[in-house]
Amino acid sequence: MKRPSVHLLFLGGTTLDERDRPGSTIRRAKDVERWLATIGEMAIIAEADGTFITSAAQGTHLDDWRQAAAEIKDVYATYDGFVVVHQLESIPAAATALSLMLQKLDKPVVLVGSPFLTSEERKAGRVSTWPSTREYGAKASIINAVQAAVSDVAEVVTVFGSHIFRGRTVQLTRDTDGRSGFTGLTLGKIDFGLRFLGSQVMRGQRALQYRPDFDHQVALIEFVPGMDMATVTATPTHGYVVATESVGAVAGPLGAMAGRVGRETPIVLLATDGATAGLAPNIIPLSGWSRNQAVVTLMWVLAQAPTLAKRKRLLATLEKH
Amino acid sequence: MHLYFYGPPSAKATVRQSYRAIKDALDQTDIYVSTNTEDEQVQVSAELLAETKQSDTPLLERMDAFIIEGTTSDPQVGFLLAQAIAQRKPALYLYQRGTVPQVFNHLSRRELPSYIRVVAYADTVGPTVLDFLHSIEGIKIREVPRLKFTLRITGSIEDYLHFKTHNTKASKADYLREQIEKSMEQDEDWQQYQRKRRST
Repeated sequence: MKRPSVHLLFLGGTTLDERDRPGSTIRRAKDVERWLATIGEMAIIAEADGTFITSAAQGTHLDDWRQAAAEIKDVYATYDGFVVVHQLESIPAAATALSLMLQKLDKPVVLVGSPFLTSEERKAGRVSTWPSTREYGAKASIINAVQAAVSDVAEVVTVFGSHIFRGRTVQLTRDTDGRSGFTGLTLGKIDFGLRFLGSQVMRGQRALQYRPDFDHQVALIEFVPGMDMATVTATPTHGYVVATESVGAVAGPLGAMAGRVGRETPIVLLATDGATAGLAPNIIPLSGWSRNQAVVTLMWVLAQAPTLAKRKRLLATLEKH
Repeated sequence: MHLYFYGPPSAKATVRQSYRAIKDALDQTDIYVSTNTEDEQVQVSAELLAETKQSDTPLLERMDAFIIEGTTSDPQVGFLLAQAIAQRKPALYLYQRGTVPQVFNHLSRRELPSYIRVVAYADTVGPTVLDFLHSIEGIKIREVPRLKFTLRITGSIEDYLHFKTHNTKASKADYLREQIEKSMEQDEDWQQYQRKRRST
C-alpha cells in the first residue's frame, strides 16, 4: 500500500516546546529540516516535508496566505494532504482566506498551531493566553493535524484541543480567566483517535478551483453611538464592514454613510440584534459572522465580482456553516 | 494511573485471544485501563472525563501509558505510536512472532526512544505486559505492603480515620495507602520526575 504524503507549510506557530530549545521553532527556511527531525515521529504516519512561508514574527498577512495557497495549488497533485502550521491568533482569518482561495478541494488542508511563545516573544514581555498545561501539547496537536491530513476529510479544517473545526467558521474566544480558545462548527472530535461526525466534506473526484484575488481596500468600523461616520469614512475604500451591538443605534448614521460612499459600495453590517429591513440596498446584513470572516470574505468578494448585485449574490451563497 | 490499550478490530480468534490475555494481565493491576478491544465505546473513568471536558484536552493526552497490539496493519496503530513518542509516554508495542508490522517498514527500531518497548510474542503475552508495567515507575501490581512504617497520629486524626473506614471493608491503613497513591497520581512534579527518569 502506497505510503501517504503530507506537505507542511509554516506561517508561525511552530514552537514545539516551552523552552524553545534549538530545533523547536522555524524562524527561517533553513530551520525547516531540523524542525522536521525534532518531530520525526510524524514519519510514522506519513512522508512529510515542508515549505517556509513566514516566521510570523510581525504577524501574518493576506500576502502570506496567498503565498501558502499558491504553494498548495502548485504541488496539489503530489501530496495526499496539507498541514498549515500557523500562528494561533490569526488562524480564523487565515482559515477563511484559504477556504475562499482553495475551492472544491478533494484533499484536506489542516490548520494547527503551537500555544508556546518563542524566546524572543517571551523576552519582549508577551504572555501566552493559550492553555498549555503540558509540555507535549504542541507536538501532540501537530501529530493530530498530520493524522487529519491523511484522513478522508476534504476541506479546510482547524485542529485545536479535542476539536476539528470547519476552518472558516472558527472564531477566537476568551474565557472569564482570560484564556484563549476557538469555537466553530465541529466536524470531528479527538479522543483516542480522530472521529468525524458526518457533516464533513469527503474526498472525491473534484478539480481544485484556485481563486486567489483579494481587494485589500476594506475598512472595519466598530460603531459606537456618538461616532461621526463622516470622519471615519473620509478616506474612501472599496467596501466596509460595520460592526455594532444594535442596528437601532446605527441605522441613522449608517443610512447617511450608505449614500455618501456611493450606492455600489457594499457595507456589510454585523449586528447582534435589531431589525434589518428598510436599510439602503448597499447595506448587507450578515448575522453570526465574525469580524475576521466578514472582512476577509468581503475583500475576496470585491475581487471576484464587479457589481453590487453580483457581490450580494456571492455573499449570500457563501455559507458560514 | 490511566493506560490505553489498543488492538485493531479483528474477527480472528487468535488475535482476540491475545487481546484477552493482555487485558487479563492488566486486570491484575490497580491501573485504570481504557481499551477499544471489549466495547465499541472506549470506557474512561468519570473523573478523567470531567477533567477533559473542562480543559478540552484530548483523552489520549491524559493517558499515562499505552499498550498497542500492532500485529495487524491499521492506521490507528501508527497514529498511537506517534502520539506516544510525541508525548514522551511509555508504550509497549506488541506483535505476534513471525509477522512484520507495517509500521517498521518506515521506521527502524533503533530510531525509537527508550521509553517505547517493542516485543514480539509467541504463546503467552501476559508476563511481557507485567514486565512492562514493572518497568514503569509508580505502577502498582497489587503487591503486598511489606515495609513497616510507624506513624504517630493525633486523636482527631484517629477519629477521622474511623469515620472514613467504619462499616467499610477497608482498614485505616488501607485508606491511608489509597490516599497517598492518589496524591502520587495527582502530583504533577512527581509524575514529571518519573517521566524524566524513564526517558534517561
